[in-house]
Amino acid sequence: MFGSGMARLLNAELPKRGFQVLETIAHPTPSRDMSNVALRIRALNPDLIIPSSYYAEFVLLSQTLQQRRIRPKGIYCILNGAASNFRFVREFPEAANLVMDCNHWADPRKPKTGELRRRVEAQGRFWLYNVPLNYSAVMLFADALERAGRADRGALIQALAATGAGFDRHIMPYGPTQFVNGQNQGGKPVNTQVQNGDIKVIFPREFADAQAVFPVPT
Amino acid sequence: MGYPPEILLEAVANGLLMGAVYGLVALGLTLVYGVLHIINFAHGALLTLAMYAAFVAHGVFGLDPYAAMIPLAGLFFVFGYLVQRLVIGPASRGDDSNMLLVTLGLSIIIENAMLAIFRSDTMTLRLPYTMSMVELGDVLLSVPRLIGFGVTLLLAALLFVLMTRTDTGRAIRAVAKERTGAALVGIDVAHIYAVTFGIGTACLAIAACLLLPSFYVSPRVGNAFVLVAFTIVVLGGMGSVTGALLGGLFIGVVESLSGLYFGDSLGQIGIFLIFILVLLLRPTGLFGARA
Repeated sequence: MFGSGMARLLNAELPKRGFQVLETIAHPTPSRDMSNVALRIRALNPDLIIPSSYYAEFVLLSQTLQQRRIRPKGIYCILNGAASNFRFVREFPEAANLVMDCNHWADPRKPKTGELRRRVEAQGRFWLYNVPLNYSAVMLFADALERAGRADRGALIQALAATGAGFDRHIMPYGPTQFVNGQNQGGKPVNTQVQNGDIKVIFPREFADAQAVFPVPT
Repeated sequence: MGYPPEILLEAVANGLLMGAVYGLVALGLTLVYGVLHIINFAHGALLTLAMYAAFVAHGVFGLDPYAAMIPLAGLFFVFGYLVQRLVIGPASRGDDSNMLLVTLGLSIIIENAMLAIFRSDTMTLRLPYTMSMVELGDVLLSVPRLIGFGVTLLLAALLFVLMTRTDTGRAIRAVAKERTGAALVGIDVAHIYAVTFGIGTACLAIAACLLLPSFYVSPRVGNAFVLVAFTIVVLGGMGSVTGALLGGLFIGVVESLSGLYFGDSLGQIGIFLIFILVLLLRPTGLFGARA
């Protein structure tokens, strides 16, 4: 239920930051139709839509918004399965263009990122947010395995817990991977935006390879 | 929240267009129930299979889903016929509860086969008319949905003619009403069972081709439509073609309006409220007595 949990969090936090939440619109998963959601959005006429949903639902929503010519100043997704997925960008370029997402994404400045992306795409697969995440997780595990020196569960957990600034084989825009109570203190999502068929990092500035386009030109 | 008339009108129109597709999915379900007296648990999986078939027909042969409609309907008729004749019929040994289990087993096999072949990725078709809309005053209507509406009405009319004006239709109705009597007058009951299952499966192939231009396909996508199709079958009357069509349209409008006013999640309550009310007040459904 990441969508509903996220909605509760946003309803609590956005007003503190000067945003007025016009409405929180829930939908079932899987969803058969997004026409009603689009009609409600049209009636509310918001500046910003913040979807937090799975791939299929966002594809339906963005298609429906485009069909019904509903053009807010921006669409800012949170952990969205579609806006950080080149399948969506390739298949629905108009609907995807200028959609922003807050998600985990590879650091575009690291040479390994480009190399891995080319290898993934050469296999006919789409480059999406969880590919660099999974790649980095495997590299982290390999690093822990090497340091542990054996495949013993306890030794591996100890080695993972001791992971520090020395681990630099991940391709995420993270700082040092350090675990406190099992949680990675270095992991944080970035802001991306679909720009002319590509997914660009727009924030934070130190990892960005493009400027944010907001509001969306009409 | 109050809505201006054009938004209400658009919601009703969307409900009718979506309801037609629900009706089409329910047509196959109600036919199979009317004759075989079983709830076909494989209905959703067969719809998924048909959607993948239409997807592959486009990817491999370049066939537009609308162009693939008739060949796929034929193919799925044969597939449904053979499934009933070679799998469901023999495996059930005449016991209705066995048929339920066999169709449930079939659905598991089909869904997992799709998962193994296509993986869990959501797939969509990008067609030139996918995003096309028609403007009727202030109301915007999706072209693929309008085509779906027209084809569903046509198919329902054809099925109505088949059931009322042809020997096959008369045989189907005879078997539905009294299978022993039908056998005594020379009707091949096993063949009619298979023909009916084949027609139901062919309806799903057509529904799949109508859905694909504006919907996605994934290994369990059919289930999203089957739950609502069960409600429509109960509302329209089990075994009634007219009931399935009108029930679909009605449920589509109810879903659309309740979704608009109460949200898409809470709006689903409207559908199930109708389901419970029909079971309580008119268990035969709106057209059940005539089925």
